[in-house]
Amino acid sequence: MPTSLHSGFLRNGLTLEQSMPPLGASFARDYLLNNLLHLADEYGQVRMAFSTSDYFEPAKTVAGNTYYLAATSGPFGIPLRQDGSAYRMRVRVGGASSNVAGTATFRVIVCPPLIANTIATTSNPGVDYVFQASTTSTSAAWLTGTTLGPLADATLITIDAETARSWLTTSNTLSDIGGDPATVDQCVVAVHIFAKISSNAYSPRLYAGYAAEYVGE
Amino acid sequence: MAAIWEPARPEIDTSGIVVATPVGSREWKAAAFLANFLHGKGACLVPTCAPHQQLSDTDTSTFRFWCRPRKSAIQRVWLLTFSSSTYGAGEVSAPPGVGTATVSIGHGRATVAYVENLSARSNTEQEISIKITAAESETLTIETISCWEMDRAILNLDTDDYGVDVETLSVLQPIRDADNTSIGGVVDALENADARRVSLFQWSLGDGAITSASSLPTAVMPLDVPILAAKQYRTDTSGKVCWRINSASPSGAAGGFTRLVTSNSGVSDLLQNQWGNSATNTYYWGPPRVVSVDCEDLAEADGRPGATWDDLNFYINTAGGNTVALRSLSVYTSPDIFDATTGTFARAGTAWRQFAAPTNGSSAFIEQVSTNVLRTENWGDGLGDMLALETVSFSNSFTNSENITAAGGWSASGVTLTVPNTINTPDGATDGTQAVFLAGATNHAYQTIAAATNSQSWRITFWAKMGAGSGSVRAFVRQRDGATNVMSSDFSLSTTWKKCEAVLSVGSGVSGPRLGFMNGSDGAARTIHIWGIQCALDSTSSGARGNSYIRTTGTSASSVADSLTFASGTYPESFLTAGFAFTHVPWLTTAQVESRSAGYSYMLCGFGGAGADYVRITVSGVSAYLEVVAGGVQKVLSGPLTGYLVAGSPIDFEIRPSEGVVKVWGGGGYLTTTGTAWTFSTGVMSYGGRSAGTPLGCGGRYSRYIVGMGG
Repeated sequence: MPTSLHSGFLRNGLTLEQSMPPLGASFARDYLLNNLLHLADEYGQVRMAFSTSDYFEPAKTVAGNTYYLAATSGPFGIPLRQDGSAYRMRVRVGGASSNVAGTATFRVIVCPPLIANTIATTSNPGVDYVFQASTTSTSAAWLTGTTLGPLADATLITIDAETARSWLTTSNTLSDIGGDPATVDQCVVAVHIFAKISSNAYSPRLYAGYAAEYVGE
Repeated sequence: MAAIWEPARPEIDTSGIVVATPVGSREWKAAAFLANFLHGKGACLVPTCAPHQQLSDTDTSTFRFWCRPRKSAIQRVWLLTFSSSTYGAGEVSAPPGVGTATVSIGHGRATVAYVENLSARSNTEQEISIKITAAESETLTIETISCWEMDRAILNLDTDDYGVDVETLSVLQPIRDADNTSIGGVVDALENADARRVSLFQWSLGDGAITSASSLPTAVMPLDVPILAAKQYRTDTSGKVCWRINSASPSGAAGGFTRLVTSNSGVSDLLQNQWGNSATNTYYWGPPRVVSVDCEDLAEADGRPGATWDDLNFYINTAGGNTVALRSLSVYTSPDIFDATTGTFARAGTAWRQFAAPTNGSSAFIEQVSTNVLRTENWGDGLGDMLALETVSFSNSFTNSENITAAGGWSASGVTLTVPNTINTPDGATDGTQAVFLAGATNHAYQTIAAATNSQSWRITFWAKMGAGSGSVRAFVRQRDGATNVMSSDFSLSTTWKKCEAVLSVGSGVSGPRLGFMNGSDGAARTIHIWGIQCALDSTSSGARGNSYIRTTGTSASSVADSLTFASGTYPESFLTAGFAFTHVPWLTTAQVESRSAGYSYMLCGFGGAGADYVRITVSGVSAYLEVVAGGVQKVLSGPLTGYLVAGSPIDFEIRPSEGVVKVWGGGGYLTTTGTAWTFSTGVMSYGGRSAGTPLGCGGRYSRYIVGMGG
């Protein structure tokens, strides 16, 4: 749900000077604060959007029924909401199996890179920042699945406040163009897509991935 | 003192803000933190794309993406995933040739981060790129590429960062309208906030490309990719985004087509005139196109309107006998997509517009619009919304343009003209004329046009279709010598309405010339339907000519000139400096412009209201050029536009004053010219002409959206 009052921008022809004195409450609430909140509600960035005929397969031989990392966005600082949870993330995965006899399973995991492999290899991680979908079709298609936590959501990844807090880290940057070294606090995650197949005689084929931040409810 | 930036955005409790009660420091301080969050949080420039390009043994490849970054950014983080079947090594460099870093990966897949320190802030539309080189005897596969702006550690208290000093909003601090402090700082921060979803989709094959030689459209991607714009206003169901491509065709001339198609929002937007020369490895970015796709619905749990994905894909094809090659596709946002229908429009009379693709008569596709109503047209030809703008008046010298019978003053030879009142016409009526031609190639219908004088050219237009099957018809003039017939080429007809148009000379002599239409050159007996016939002087000096339709009854009638202007402050100020891009569909070819009188020109747009700042197509010597004049001084004169203007086809312009650059994409290919940097005068902006001075525009279609380049 939006945090702004009007679920969108409010146009206002007044300047600050015209609204004073004293500063009008409606100018502050309906224009200034509403528009700031709406900007933040709609800040969410698209982090992953690809579809390729050159599908991703294992870069090296992997055992059957074992997840391997098929694609990743690389780490970025996901925005946090006031309650400390992360912006939600709409995710979608498109894939296929190389053979109908093999069940290909894909996991979209939004987490710090260092723990992604551990989560991927956990049989039931029970968290809503892992989305899972399977197919036996050999045709590329967007797959239907759910997150593996209590929400079992069909599209949205959720990272709760406690988890997001534990993932906060300090990243190096600069203070300005050509400026001094500085640090910035970020909740650093990456969008990882892991894949596995029921038999190593076949391969899972990752064709497409999508992940976009959304302020959420 | 610098402003504080926090990784979590605050929410602001507005429930206690009521009229006649002061807004508390707590709310103002939260607002300042939120403003700083919006300015400090980096945006994503390249959502993860998957080029899957393999490089070996010192091969290089540069991956190019187009977007409009944010001015607050000082660093870009590139993330690249490589794979290798054994061991791979190489080097990355962004921007190419500037910073470099080495890559070394083992057997498998690895992600490498490369931080690009920017040398200057910029929020102008631009290419961002990264070059990757494989080490000698090594092989690397570039699987994915992503790029985002680094979050800011602190924001400066200036007009680049618009940081707000949060402490100045503490309890007991004075309320001030000042820069970067107090409430004035919050207001400035809001009004200059650029918290965009910068890129919605990026696709690049580096120096590789996909190609197509087929005239049938081929999908670029196996699965359509979701696209969802940010919502602006509460009732919005769509948001405008831009797209550009980097491509080439071997001939170096216009040879390719790329179409963006979306599922739920129903976009089918066509980019014509792909250029460059893939044989010589010359690729160019094309002009920006603007489309409206679904926007988020904040009432939905996941933001998807109706829980439906809006998906996009691209399709490429050629006109046949050519090859188109595609390297990069970019879908991005711009805060300066300017809707030209918001201007002040004036026309002291009615006019006709075509609002949809021609049909066989089952539904209307042209209509009359009232005085002072702008003609927004979408012909269904893939060019999207365009504006019909004609700043020069012209006349239809035929009488009874729809009652094409003897009773309407039409004479006929070998053709029977009737109005059976059963023929559906382009305007949705049923009063089309049935013309039954006897066998004979010279059978014709005509009116004598006394206004035509020696050596003039006249433009004859009409809508025609077959009663059944296929056939042809021609425009016709019996010249002023009373004996010589000149005809257009055959117009091939089906049972769908078609607009037929030709310019023919009336020759010299003392007779009144006959103007009209004639049977196809095969001379077969046939029945055609005809409606809305027009003839107009094709002026070589003023530019007046028969563009859109003018209905006549007992006497000839004239059009009224259009004027579309924008007051200062109602269009993006950045147009004057950073520049803008727009599309024009001319009525004339380059050759027709060049055949005009010496000094002929036609204005595309103007600034300042004094007639001294403008962009125009002008004839000098034997060629036509694009010229920019500011303050009465020529700033840029492009190369010759030979082949660039094609009647009824788009030509795109990008005007960049601060760089002194103009770019043109059209039937002749791609042309860029650098002259002297300039700034347009402030004041009124005009579109499709200029606001003072003559000559004005000659007419045509202009894109509804003008894309600002930044600033």
